Amino acid sequence: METAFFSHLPNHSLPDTAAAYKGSKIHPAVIQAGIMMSSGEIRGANARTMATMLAFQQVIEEYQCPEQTVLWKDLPNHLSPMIAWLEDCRPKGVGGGNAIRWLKGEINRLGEVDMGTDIEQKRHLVGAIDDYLTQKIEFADQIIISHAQEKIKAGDTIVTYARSSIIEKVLLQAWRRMKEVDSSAEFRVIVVDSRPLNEGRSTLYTLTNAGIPCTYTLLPLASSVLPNANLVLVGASALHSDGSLYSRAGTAVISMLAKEYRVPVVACVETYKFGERVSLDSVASNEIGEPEQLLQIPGGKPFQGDFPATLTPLNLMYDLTPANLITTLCTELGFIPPSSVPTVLGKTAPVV
Amino acid sequence: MAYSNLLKPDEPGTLLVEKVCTRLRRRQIVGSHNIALETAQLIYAIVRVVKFSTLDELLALLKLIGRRLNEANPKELASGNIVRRILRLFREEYRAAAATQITQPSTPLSGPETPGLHAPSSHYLSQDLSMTTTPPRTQNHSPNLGGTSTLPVPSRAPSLSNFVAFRHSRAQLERSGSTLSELTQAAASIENEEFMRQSAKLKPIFIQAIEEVIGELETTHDDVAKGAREHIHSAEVIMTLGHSKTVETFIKHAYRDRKFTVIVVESAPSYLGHTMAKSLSASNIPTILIPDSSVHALMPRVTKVVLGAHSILANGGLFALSGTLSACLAAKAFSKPVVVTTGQFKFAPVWNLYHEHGAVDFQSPGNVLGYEGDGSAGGITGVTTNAPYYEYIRPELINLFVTNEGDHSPSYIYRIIKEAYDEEDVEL
Repeated sequence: METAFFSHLPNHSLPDTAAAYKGSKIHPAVIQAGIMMSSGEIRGANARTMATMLAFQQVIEEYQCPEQTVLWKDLPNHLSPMIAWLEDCRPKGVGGGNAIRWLKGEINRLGEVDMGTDIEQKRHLVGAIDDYLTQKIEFADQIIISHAQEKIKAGDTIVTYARSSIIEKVLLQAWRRMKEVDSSAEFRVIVVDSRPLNEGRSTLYTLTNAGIPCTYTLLPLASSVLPNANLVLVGASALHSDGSLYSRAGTAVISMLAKEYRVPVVACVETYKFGERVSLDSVASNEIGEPEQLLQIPGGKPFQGDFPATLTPLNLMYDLTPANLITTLCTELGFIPPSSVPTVLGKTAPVV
Repeated sequence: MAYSNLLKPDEPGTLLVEKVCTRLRRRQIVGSHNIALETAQLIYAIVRVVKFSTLDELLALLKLIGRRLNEANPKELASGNIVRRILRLFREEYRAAAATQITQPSTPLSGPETPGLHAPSSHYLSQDLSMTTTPPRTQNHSPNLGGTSTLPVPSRAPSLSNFVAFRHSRAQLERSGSTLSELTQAAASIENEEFMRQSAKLKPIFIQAIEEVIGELETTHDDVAKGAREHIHSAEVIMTLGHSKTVETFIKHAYRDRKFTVIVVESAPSYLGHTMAKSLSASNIPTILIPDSSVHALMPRVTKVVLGAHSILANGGLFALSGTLSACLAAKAFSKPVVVTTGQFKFAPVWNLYHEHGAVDFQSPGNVLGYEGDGSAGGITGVTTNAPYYEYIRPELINLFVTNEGDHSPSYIYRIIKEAYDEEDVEL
């Protein structure tokens, strides 16, 4: 279907690793990160941003500035094919984009402020990357966890969708704290999941290992669990400046069901995932997963032999949850309404 | 089990009922259409073998069977609907027969016979009920519907015409301003009298009525699809969910006249959408197969949502395959029309009192969580799952019901149900 409404979306394909190695322009650490992101071994905005930045850290450490130029002018050129490679492997997303933009800004600042020798400048950049990751992700997560766990009370039923690293941490921390206060107190978690990735299985595994009582169900069956739920917790890949949440496909569905049953939806997002971009619907910009995964269903493959020419499997990776379906955002700045995203963006735009 | 005196516990008829009940309980018969057909065929078999002397006796037995079927699987409302429908038809037949008797006071003896329409000498009509015809009905021989020709069709006397003919003539009477009420009143007045004792003689007509119901069921999908082209314009993007035979026929029917694209939601954990997508694409209909998670994402591109139903309730709400609610809510959010295609046998005279769990009919958790060893949950213990087959959709989310007998809005369903079943059968 060449003229289909989704034909503009890039098809997911494995990157050409051999060419990348041969070209010698791309650092092996970056190649490795790219492959892992492409294959899905590294999944989730936080994990991907960290992998990208740590790879670049290594690149910077090993970088030698040529004689006739200065570091702040040459390093961006050195990095740009690597950034392009990563983009090839998987679109970097708003969070990753923000981090790379910050890194470029940081390199540029070396031209304005004298940091000393090349080695000192490199050391400064490496340290700055560490600080960025710590502040924007690790500390931010800790603050988000401390805010979000306030919303979980004993006897509650919490619904979560697919897998989000921050939601897992929130639930584990809330459980630990609840047990410290009163060992008989507990809450339940309902993990709602969807094919083809079934990422919720991993959440389920983590939570049950911690002893949290869990219910597992699939997205189409979620309407049976929501009437008894107290809170829906979702993570995000990005937050657009109109307050809409760009997250794993199905988040919009669970939020919509939650609204139907009047269950509050709290999205836990670090502010580095806030983006200037606005997109009016989920199809305008999205990623397409492997159609093979969609066609492979438990208990067999219905399409054997000739694949019908008129059939197109479409496996969207993300969807856009409109701001009106989100009750509140839980960020490192506290609980804010989705409408405050531009305010936060305005405040943090000159990234320090 | 306490059966009426018509069916003793060890009779073949009783065993037949038990067999169907068992299969219902074990979910060996699933799907409203299959259950409706099985029910009609069961009643057909029972009515054929059972010996009854009064109509009330027969109706009581059918009600009992209806109750048994309903108890066997309370979520399969179609069985009760079919029983109610047949009860209604039997009463109508009975009244029609009674009415003709009134209009021909010379009963029960032989009146002037219509030439060429002699009943065989061995036939019950030749014995004591050979009534003559009322003119509008003589011409009405209903076609043998839906391939039931292997069943023995009783040679009917024209006077005791079938249900369609009766309805037809009644309509004619009404149109011509004739006094139908006089007829029915007269019919009522002779109930419990002489005529009542002759109910057994109506058996062939009753059987004919059931055949008609079976025929109707067999052609339901095509009847629903008849108006498909009126609802779908070219270049539409239709979204559907899972695999509903009615929707499949509807879409394929529409595709003969219009060219459009269908988005099929795969619908976990049954993955019936894959079957649907396979069937549609095999008919060269451009089909896009999507996971359940993309319902909201793709809704802006959809022009209409066409859904099947499990059963439709008196308030216009319905029970449908799990996942339907998401599609309906998304459609509402983006103001897309939601069309439910259904046969009228799914219309049940019940109200959903327990919105959250009213539709609950749980399926195996294995479908959801998988079994250990398939790389899924890795044998995690202590996890519960929730896997209902159906969920409840409130009437406000539906724009139109396309049925085998016309298109109706949800607010009108109660009226159709009122007309389709007798008040006294609502509680079987």
